[in-house]
Amino acid sequence: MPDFDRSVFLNCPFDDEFMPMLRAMAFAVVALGFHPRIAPENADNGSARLDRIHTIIGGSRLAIHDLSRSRIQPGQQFARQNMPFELGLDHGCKIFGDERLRSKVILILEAQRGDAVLSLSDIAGLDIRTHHGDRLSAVSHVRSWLRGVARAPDIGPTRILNLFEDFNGWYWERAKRNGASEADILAYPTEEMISAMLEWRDLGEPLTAN
Amino acid sequence: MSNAAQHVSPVEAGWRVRRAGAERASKVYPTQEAAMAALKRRVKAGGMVIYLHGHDGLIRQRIELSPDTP
Repeated sequence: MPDFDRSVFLNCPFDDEFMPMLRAMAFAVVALGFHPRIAPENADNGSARLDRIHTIIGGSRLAIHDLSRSRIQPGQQFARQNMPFELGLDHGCKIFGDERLRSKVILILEAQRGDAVLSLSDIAGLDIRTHHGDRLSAVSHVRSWLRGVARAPDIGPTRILNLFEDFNGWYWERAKRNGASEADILAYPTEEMISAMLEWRDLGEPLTAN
Repeated sequence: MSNAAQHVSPVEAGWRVRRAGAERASKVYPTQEAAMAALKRRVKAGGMVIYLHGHDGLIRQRIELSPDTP
């Protein structure tokens, strides 16, 4: 079980369009010495997924809630409500929990300025930052926030994204060595990549997979 | 593959080439084709691996270059 103070709950969209942002933010969390925790939507049945979310929320002092899907997407009739719901669970855990849970810290991200409060006005006044769908901006917010609330080391956002490129090279080489095709690697799920990020960090951030 | 791997990725000013592990880009080229042509001129015996990134930052293609690559 990851350490409570180093665990970061990533409550983000899991659609294909957002996937590169989610992976970059997860990598920033890893590169800064923390442990990202996600609850993939398609990994299990609904009740088991909710149990897993409870476990992650109860075990993470830090949480990033991305409300980029506040707006209805083209072709949709309903906006996704899982992210606001899980933000509410996390906030309630902080408010009504024991002393340890009351130390929880929450960052809210949105794609366009004002979207989050327009769809969820109760959160006005909380720490909300806008990334405009830009990876460097999102990584910059994650870095600054972790610096401020959890004494993360001073690694610049551009360096984090350079390290992310290096990690991806290592990840591809390792996957190919293990018999994956390029199509296989592109289809690997994000939770598998996050496990590999942690392994890469523990190996000392190698450039080659031996 | 004895040469250091290279990352080729799109940036605002064109296509960036960065040696794996480097802090900065070695150069930014106006097009992806120009970046790849420059790397082909640099490849030595032993070959070189190039990771071609998409606009989302993720690797889209892995390319092995050798001095014999046309």
